[in-house]
Amino acid sequence: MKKLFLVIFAAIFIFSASVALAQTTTYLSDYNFQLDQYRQNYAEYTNFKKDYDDRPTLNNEQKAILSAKQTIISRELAWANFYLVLSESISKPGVTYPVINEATTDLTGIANYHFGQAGKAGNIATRADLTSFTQEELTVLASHRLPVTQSQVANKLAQLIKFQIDAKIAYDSLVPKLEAVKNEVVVKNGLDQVQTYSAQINGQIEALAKKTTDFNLDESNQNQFYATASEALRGIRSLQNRLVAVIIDLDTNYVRH
Amino acid sequence: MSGTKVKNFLLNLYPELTRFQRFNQITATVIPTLTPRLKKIMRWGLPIVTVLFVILLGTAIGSWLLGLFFPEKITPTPIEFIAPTVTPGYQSPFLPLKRSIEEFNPALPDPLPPVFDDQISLEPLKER
Repeated sequence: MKKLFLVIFAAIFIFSASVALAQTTTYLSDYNFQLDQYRQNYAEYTNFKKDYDDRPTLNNEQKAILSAKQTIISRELAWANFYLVLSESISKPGVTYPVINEATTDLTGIANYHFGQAGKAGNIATRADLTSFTQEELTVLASHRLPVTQSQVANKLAQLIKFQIDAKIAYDSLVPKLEAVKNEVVVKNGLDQVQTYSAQINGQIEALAKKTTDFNLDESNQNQFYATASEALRGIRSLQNRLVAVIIDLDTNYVRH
Repeated sequence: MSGTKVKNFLLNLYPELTRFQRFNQITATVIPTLTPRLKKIMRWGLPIVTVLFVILLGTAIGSWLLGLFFPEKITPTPIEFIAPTVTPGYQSPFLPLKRSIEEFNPALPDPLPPVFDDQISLEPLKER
Protein backbone atom coordinates (compact mmCIF):
# COMPACT_ATOMS: atom_id res chain seq x y z
CA MET A 1 0.00 0.00 0.00
CA LYS A 2 2.84 2.35 0.99
CA LYS A 3 4.61 1.57 -2.27
CA LEU A 4 1.48 2.33 -4.22
CA PHE A 5 1.21 5.77 -2.56
CA LEU A 6 4.85 6.48 -3.34
CA VAL A 7 4.39 5.53 -6.98
CA ILE A 8 1.27 7.72 -7.27
CA PHE A 9 3.03 10.62 -5.57
CA ALA A 10 6.06 10.30 -7.87
CA ALA A 11 3.80 10.11 -10.93
CA ILE A 12 1.92 13.28 -9.88
CA PHE A 13 5.22 15.09 -9.24
CA ILE A 14 6.69 14.10 -12.61
CA PHE A 15 3.46 15.02 -14.38
CA SER A 16 3.31 18.50 -12.73
CA ALA A 17 6.97 19.18 -13.44
CA SER A 18 6.64 18.13 -17.07
CA VAL A 19 3.47 20.25 -17.50
CA ALA A 20 5.26 23.31 -16.09
CA LEU A 21 8.29 22.72 -18.32
CA ALA A 22 6.14 22.08 -21.36
CA GLN A 23 4.20 25.31 -20.77
CA THR A 24 7.38 27.41 -20.70
CA THR A 25 8.67 25.71 -23.80
CA THR A 26 5.28 26.20 -25.50
CA TYR A 27 5.28 29.97 -25.01
CA LEU A 28 8.75 30.26 -26.45
CA SER A 29 8.15 27.89 -29.36
CA ASP A 30 4.79 29.55 -30.09
CA TYR A 31 6.53 32.92 -30.08
CA ASN A 32 9.22 31.70 -32.48
CA PHE A 33 6.61 30.08 -34.72
CA GLN A 34 4.44 33.22 -34.85
CA LEU A 35 7.50 35.38 -35.48
CA ASP A 36 8.34 33.25 -38.51
CA GLN A 37 4.73 33.43 -39.67
CA TYR A 38 4.74 37.20 -39.28
CA ARG A 39 7.92 37.58 -41.34
CA GLN A 40 6.47 35.51 -44.19
CA ASN A 41 3.09 37.25 -44.02
CA TYR A 42 4.66 40.68 -43.80
CA ALA A 43 6.78 40.03 -46.91
CA GLU A 44 3.61 39.02 -48.78
CA TYR A 45 1.68 42.01 -47.42
CA THR A 46 4.42 44.40 -48.60
CA ASN A 47 4.13 42.99 -52.11
CA PHE A 48 0.32 43.09 -52.19
CA LYS A 49 0.28 46.60 -50.78
CA LYS A 50 2.72 47.70 -53.47
CA ASP A 51 0.51 46.14 -56.14
CA TYR A 52 -2.50 47.92 -54.66
CA ASP A 53 -0.67 51.26 -54.49
CA ASP A 54 0.41 50.82 -58.14
CA ARG A 55 -2.96 49.52 -59.38
CA PRO A 56 -5.78 50.18 -56.86
CA THR A 57 -8.24 47.63 -58.22
CA LEU A 58 -10.85 45.90 -56.06
CA ASN A 59 -9.06 42.61 -56.53
CA ASN A 60 -5.71 44.05 -55.44
CA GLU A 61 -7.41 45.73 -52.50
CA GLN A 62 -8.94 42.43 -51.33
CA LYS A 63 -5.59 40.66 -51.66
CA ALA A 64 -3.86 43.41 -49.68
CA ILE A 65 -6.55 43.41 -46.95
CA LEU A 66 -6.45 39.63 -46.62
CA SER A 67 -2.68 39.66 -46.45
CA ALA A 68 -2.72 42.52 -43.90
CA LYS A 69 -5.20 40.56 -41.79
CA GLN A 70 -2.96 37.46 -41.75
CA THR A 71 0.05 39.61 -40.87
CA ILE A 72 -1.80 41.30 -38.01
CA ILE A 73 -3.02 37.97 -36.61
CA SER A 74 0.50 36.51 -36.57
CA ARG A 75 1.85 39.77 -35.14
CA GLU A 76 -0.71 39.82 -32.33
CA LEU A 77 -0.08 36.17 -31.47
CA ALA A 78 3.68 36.80 -31.51
CA TRP A 79 3.25 39.78 -29.17
CA ALA A 80 1.03 37.76 -26.83
CA ASN A 81 3.52 34.91 -26.64
CA PHE A 82 6.43 37.31 -26.22
CA TYR A 83 4.78 38.83 -23.16
CA LEU A 84 3.98 35.38 -21.78
CA VAL A 85 7.64 34.39 -22.20
CA LEU A 86 8.65 37.53 -20.30
CA SER A 87 5.99 36.92 -17.63
CA GLU A 88 7.13 33.31 -17.26
CA SER A 89 10.73 34.46 -16.88
CA ILE A 90 9.68 36.84 -14.07
CA SER A 91 7.65 34.15 -12.28
CA LYS A 92 10.28 31.42 -12.65
CA PRO A 93 12.42 32.37 -9.61
CA GLY A 94 9.25 32.24 -7.47
CA VAL A 95 9.88 35.62 -5.86
CA THR A 96 7.13 37.69 -4.27
CA TYR A 97 7.86 41.40 -4.42
CA PRO A 98 5.47 44.31 -5.24
CA VAL A 99 7.11 45.40 -8.51
CA ILE A 100 7.35 41.76 -9.63
CA ASN A 101 3.76 40.85 -8.78
CA GLU A 102 2.57 43.98 -10.57
CA ALA A 103 4.65 43.14 -13.64
CA THR A 104 3.26 39.61 -14.01
CA THR A 105 -0.30 40.91 -13.64
CA ASP A 106 0.33 43.65 -16.24
CA LEU A 107 1.96 41.24 -18.68
CA THR A 108 -0.86 38.72 -18.40
CA GLY A 109 -3.33 41.52 -19.14
CA ILE A 110 -1.29 42.73 -22.12
CA ALA A 111 -0.91 39.18 -23.47
CA ASN A 112 -4.67 38.65 -23.17
CA TYR A 113 -5.26 41.93 -24.98
CA HIS A 114 -3.10 40.74 -27.91
CA PHE A 115 -4.83 37.35 -27.98
CA GLY A 116 -8.12 39.25 -28.14
CA GLN A 117 -6.81 41.46 -30.92
CA ALA A 118 -5.76 38.37 -32.91
CA GLY A 119 -9.40 37.22 -32.68
CA LYS A 120 -10.72 40.65 -33.56
CA ALA A 121 -8.39 40.93 -36.54
CA GLY A 122 -10.23 37.98 -38.07
CA ASN A 123 -13.23 40.32 -38.53
CA ILE A 124 -11.35 42.82 -40.70
CA ALA A 125 -13.11 42.86 -44.05
CA THR A 126 -12.75 46.36 -45.49
CA ARG A 127 -10.10 49.02 -45.87
CA ALA A 128 -11.88 51.11 -43.23
CA ASP A 129 -11.92 48.14 -40.78
CA LEU A 130 -8.16 47.80 -41.23
CA THR A 131 -7.50 51.49 -40.66
CA SER A 132 -9.74 51.63 -37.62
CA PHE A 133 -8.15 48.49 -36.15
CA THR A 134 -4.61 49.84 -36.58
CA GLN A 135 -5.57 53.27 -35.29
CA GLU A 136 -7.03 51.80 -32.12
CA GLU A 137 -4.08 49.42 -31.72
CA LEU A 138 -1.56 52.28 -31.86
CA THR A 139 -3.35 54.06 -29.01
CA VAL A 140 -3.37 50.94 -26.82
CA LEU A 141 0.27 50.05 -27.62
CA ALA A 142 1.35 53.46 -26.39
CA SER A 143 -0.30 52.72 -23.05
CA HIS A 144 1.59 49.39 -22.84
CA ARG A 145 5.02 50.99 -23.08
CA LEU A 146 5.26 51.89 -19.39
CA PRO A 147 4.26 48.52 -17.87
CA VAL A 148 6.44 46.69 -20.39
CA THR A 149 9.47 48.84 -19.51
CA GLN A 150 8.83 48.25 -15.80
CA SER A 151 8.43 44.51 -16.44
CA GLN A 152 11.82 44.35 -18.12
CA VAL A 153 13.45 45.67 -14.94
CA ALA A 154 11.22 43.48 -12.76
CA ASN A 155 12.47 40.46 -14.71
CA LYS A 156 16.06 41.29 -13.75
CA LEU A 157 15.15 42.15 -10.17
CA ALA A 158 13.40 38.78 -9.77
CA GLN A 159 16.64 37.00 -10.65
CA LEU A 160 18.74 39.15 -8.31
CA ILE A 161 16.27 38.73 -5.43
CA LYS A 162 16.39 34.97 -5.98
CA PHE A 163 20.20 35.09 -5.72
CA GLN A 164 19.79 37.07 -2.51
CA ILE A 165 17.39 34.47 -1.08
CA ASP A 166 19.78 31.66 -2.03
CA ALA A 167 22.69 33.53 -0.43
CA LYS A 168 20.65 33.95 2.76
CA ILE A 169 19.88 30.21 2.81
CA ALA A 170 23.60 29.51 2.31
CA TYR A 171 24.53 31.89 5.14
CA ASP A 172 21.96 30.40 7.52
CA SER A 173 23.26 26.91 6.85
CA LEU A 174 26.85 28.06 7.36
CA VAL A 175 26.52 29.89 10.69
CA PRO A 176 25.96 26.79 12.89
CA LYS A 177 28.97 25.10 11.29
CA LEU A 178 31.16 28.07 12.25
CA GLU A 179 30.05 28.02 15.90
CA ALA A 180 33.42 26.72 17.16
CA VAL A 181 35.44 29.43 15.41
CA LYS A 182 32.93 32.27 15.32
CA ASN A 183 34.97 34.43 17.72
CA GLU A 184 38.17 34.17 15.70
CA VAL A 185 39.01 37.50 14.08
CA VAL A 186 39.04 36.22 10.47
CA VAL A 187 35.70 34.42 10.80
CA LYS A 188 34.13 37.32 12.68
CA ASN A 189 35.26 39.71 9.94
CA GLY A 190 33.86 37.39 7.29
CA LEU A 191 30.46 37.17 9.00
CA ASP A 192 30.41 40.95 9.48
CA GLN A 193 31.19 41.45 5.78
CA VAL A 194 28.27 39.18 4.83
CA GLN A 195 25.96 41.33 6.96
CA THR A 196 27.30 44.56 5.45
CA TYR A 197 27.05 43.37 1.85
CA SER A 198 23.54 41.99 2.44
CA ALA A 199 22.34 45.30 3.82
CA GLN A 200 23.88 47.18 0.88
CA ILE A 201 22.35 44.80 -1.69
CA ASN A 202 18.89 44.96 -0.10
CA GLY A 203 19.10 48.75 -0.07
CA GLN A 204 20.08 48.90 -3.74
CA ILE A 205 17.35 46.44 -4.76
CA GLU A 206 14.76 48.49 -2.91
CA ALA A 207 16.05 51.70 -4.51
CA LEU A 208 15.88 50.23 -8.02
CA ALA A 209 12.41 48.79 -7.39
CA LYS A 210 11.20 52.19 -6.21
CA LYS A 211 12.79 53.92 -9.19
CA THR A 212 11.04 51.43 -11.48
CA THR A 213 7.65 51.93 -9.83
CA ASP A 214 8.04 55.72 -9.95
CA PHE A 215 9.23 55.72 -13.56
CA ASN A 216 7.26 58.04 -15.78
CA LEU A 217 7.59 57.72 -19.54
CA ASP A 218 6.32 61.26 -20.11
CA GLU A 219 9.22 62.75 -18.17
CA SER A 220 12.01 60.28 -18.77
CA ASN A 221 13.50 58.75 -21.82
CA GLN A 222 13.07 54.97 -22.01
CA ASN A 223 16.63 54.28 -23.23
CA GLN A 224 18.06 56.50 -20.55
CA PHE A 225 16.04 54.64 -17.94
CA TYR A 226 17.27 51.28 -19.24
CA ALA A 227 20.88 52.54 -19.12
CA THR A 228 20.53 53.77 -15.52
CA ALA A 229 18.73 50.61 -14.40
CA SER A 230 21.33 48.46 -16.14
CA GLU A 231 24.10 50.28 -14.27
CA ALA A 232 22.29 49.69 -10.96
CA LEU A 233 21.85 45.99 -11.80
CA ARG A 234 25.57 45.74 -12.56
CA GLY A 235 26.34 47.25 -9.13
CA ILE A 236 24.03 44.81 -7.33
CA ARG A 237 25.55 41.86 -9.20
CA SER A 238 29.04 42.98 -8.21
CA LEU A 239 28.06 43.15 -4.51
CA GLN A 240 26.35 39.76 -4.68
CA ASN A 241 29.48 38.30 -6.24
CA ARG A 242 31.55 39.57 -3.31
CA LEU A 243 28.97 38.37 -0.79
CA VAL A 244 28.92 34.82 -2.16
CA ALA A 245 32.74 34.81 -2.45
CA VAL A 246 32.97 35.48 1.32
CA ILE A 247 30.42 32.74 2.06
CA ILE A 248 32.36 30.28 -0.10
CA ASP A 249 35.64 31.30 1.56
CA LEU A 250 34.18 30.70 5.02
CA ASP A 251 32.70 27.39 3.94
CA THR A 252 35.84 26.15 2.22
CA ASN A 253 38.47 27.30 4.69
CA TYR A 254 36.88 27.54 8.13
CA VAL A 255 34.30 24.77 8.28
CA ARG A 256 35.48 21.26 9.11
CA HIS A 257 34.25 18.94 6.35
CA MET B 1 110.15 62.28 32.47
CA SER B 2 106.55 63.06 31.58
CA GLY B 3 105.45 60.56 34.27
CA THR B 4 107.22 62.64 36.87
CA LYS B 5 105.48 65.77 35.58
CA VAL B 6 102.10 64.14 35.93
CA LYS B 7 103.01 62.86 39.38
CA ASN B 8 104.13 66.36 40.48
CA PHE B 9 100.98 67.85 39.01
CA LEU B 10 98.80 65.40 40.94
CA LEU B 11 100.79 65.92 44.14
CA ASN B 12 100.33 69.62 43.72
CA LEU B 13 96.61 69.07 43.48
CA TYR B 14 96.28 66.36 46.13
CA PRO B 15 99.17 66.45 48.63
CA GLU B 16 97.44 63.67 50.56
CA LEU B 17 98.58 61.24 47.87
CA THR B 18 102.04 61.02 49.50
CA ARG B 19 100.46 58.94 52.19
CA PHE B 20 99.96 56.10 49.69
CA GLN B 21 102.99 53.87 49.25
CA ARG B 22 101.85 52.74 45.84
CA PHE B 23 101.74 56.30 44.56
CA ASN B 24 105.32 56.92 45.61
CA GLN B 25 106.38 53.94 43.56
CA ILE B 26 104.70 55.04 40.32
CA THR B 27 107.71 56.61 38.65
CA ALA B 28 109.86 53.68 39.53
CA THR B 29 107.44 50.87 38.56
CA VAL B 30 104.95 52.05 35.90
CA ILE B 31 106.66 54.56 33.71
CA PRO B 32 109.88 52.67 33.11
CA THR B 33 107.92 49.59 31.95
CA LEU B 34 106.58 51.46 28.87
CA THR B 35 108.51 50.07 25.93
CA PRO B 36 108.85 52.30 22.83
CA ARG B 37 106.34 50.08 21.01
CA LEU B 38 103.75 50.27 23.81
CA LYS B 39 104.36 53.95 24.09
CA LYS B 40 103.62 54.38 20.34
CA ILE B 41 100.42 52.36 20.62
CA MET B 42 99.25 54.35 23.61
CA ARG B 43 100.15 57.63 21.93
CA TRP B 44 97.70 56.94 19.10
CA GLY B 45 95.38 54.54 20.82
CA LEU B 46 94.38 56.77 23.70
CA PRO B 47 93.07 59.66 21.54
CA ILE B 48 91.22 57.23 19.25
CA VAL B 49 89.61 55.40 22.16
CA THR B 50 88.76 58.75 23.76
CA VAL B 51 87.14 60.04 20.57
CA LEU B 52 85.12 56.80 20.15
CA PHE B 53 84.07 56.90 23.79
CA VAL B 54 82.91 60.49 23.42
CA ILE B 55 80.93 59.63 20.26
CA LEU B 56 79.23 56.62 21.91
CA LEU B 57 78.51 58.57 25.07
CA GLY B 58 77.07 61.42 22.98
CA THR B 59 74.86 59.05 21.00
CA ALA B 60 73.61 57.38 24.17
CA ILE B 61 72.81 60.73 25.77
CA GLY B 62 71.16 61.91 22.51
CA SER B 63 68.96 58.78 22.34
CA TRP B 64 67.96 59.24 25.94
CA LEU B 65 67.06 62.88 25.32
CA LEU B 66 65.13 61.91 22.15
CA GLY B 67 63.10 59.46 24.22
CA LEU B 68 62.01 62.36 26.44
CA PHE B 69 60.50 64.30 23.51
CA PHE B 70 59.04 61.52 21.35
CA PRO B 71 56.54 58.93 22.57
CA GLU B 72 57.67 55.40 22.90
CA LYS B 73 57.03 53.19 19.91
CA ILE B 74 54.01 50.99 20.46
CA THR B 75 54.22 47.60 18.87
CA PRO B 76 50.76 46.12 18.32
CA THR B 77 50.05 42.73 19.74
CA PRO B 78 50.06 40.11 17.01
CA ILE B 79 46.67 39.44 15.43
CA GLU B 80 45.41 36.03 16.33
CA PHE B 81 45.37 33.92 13.25
CA ILE B 82 43.71 30.62 12.71
CA ALA B 83 45.12 28.45 10.02
CA PRO B 84 42.44 27.61 7.43
CA THR B 85 41.37 23.98 7.61
CA VAL B 86 41.47 23.33 3.90
CA THR B 87 40.02 20.02 2.84
CA PRO B 88 41.80 18.92 -0.32
CA GLY B 89 39.45 18.62 -3.29
CA TYR B 90 36.48 20.13 -1.40
CA GLN B 91 33.99 21.93 -3.65
CA SER B 92 31.66 24.32 -1.89
CA PRO B 93 27.96 23.66 -2.66
CA PHE B 94 27.60 27.44 -3.11
CA LEU B 95 29.83 27.56 -6.21
CA PRO B 96 26.86 27.13 -8.63
CA LEU B 97 25.24 30.20 -7.04
CA LYS B 98 28.41 32.19 -7.67
CA ARG B 99 28.45 31.00 -11.28
CA SER B 100 24.79 31.99 -11.75
CA ILE B 101 25.54 35.48 -10.40
CA GLU B 102 28.55 35.81 -12.70
CA GLU B 103 26.43 34.74 -15.68
CA PHE B 104 23.64 37.21 -14.84
CA ASN B 105 23.21 39.64 -17.73
CA PRO B 106 22.38 43.18 -16.53
CA ALA B 107 21.68 44.50 -20.05
CA LEU B 108 18.22 45.92 -20.72
CA PRO B 109 15.86 45.21 -22.40
CA ASP B 110 16.20 41.43 -22.11
CA PRO B 111 14.50 39.60 -23.81
CA LEU B 112 14.75 42.03 -26.69
CA PRO B 113 11.25 42.90 -27.95
CA PRO B 114 10.53 42.00 -31.57
CA VAL B 115 10.29 44.76 -34.15
CA PHE B 116 6.89 44.76 -35.83
CA ASP B 117 5.13 47.10 -38.19
CA ASP B 118 2.34 48.50 -36.04
CA GLN B 119 1.02 50.74 -38.81
CA ILE B 120 -0.40 48.14 -41.19
CA SER B 121 -3.01 49.99 -43.22
CA LEU B 122 -3.95 50.77 -46.79
CA GLU B 123 -4.81 54.35 -45.88
CA PRO B 124 -2.73 57.08 -44.30
CA LEU B 125 -3.13 57.00 -40.51
CA LYS B 126 -4.18 59.99 -38.48
CA GLU B 127 -1.51 61.74 -36.45
CA ARG B 128 -2.01 60.88 -32.77
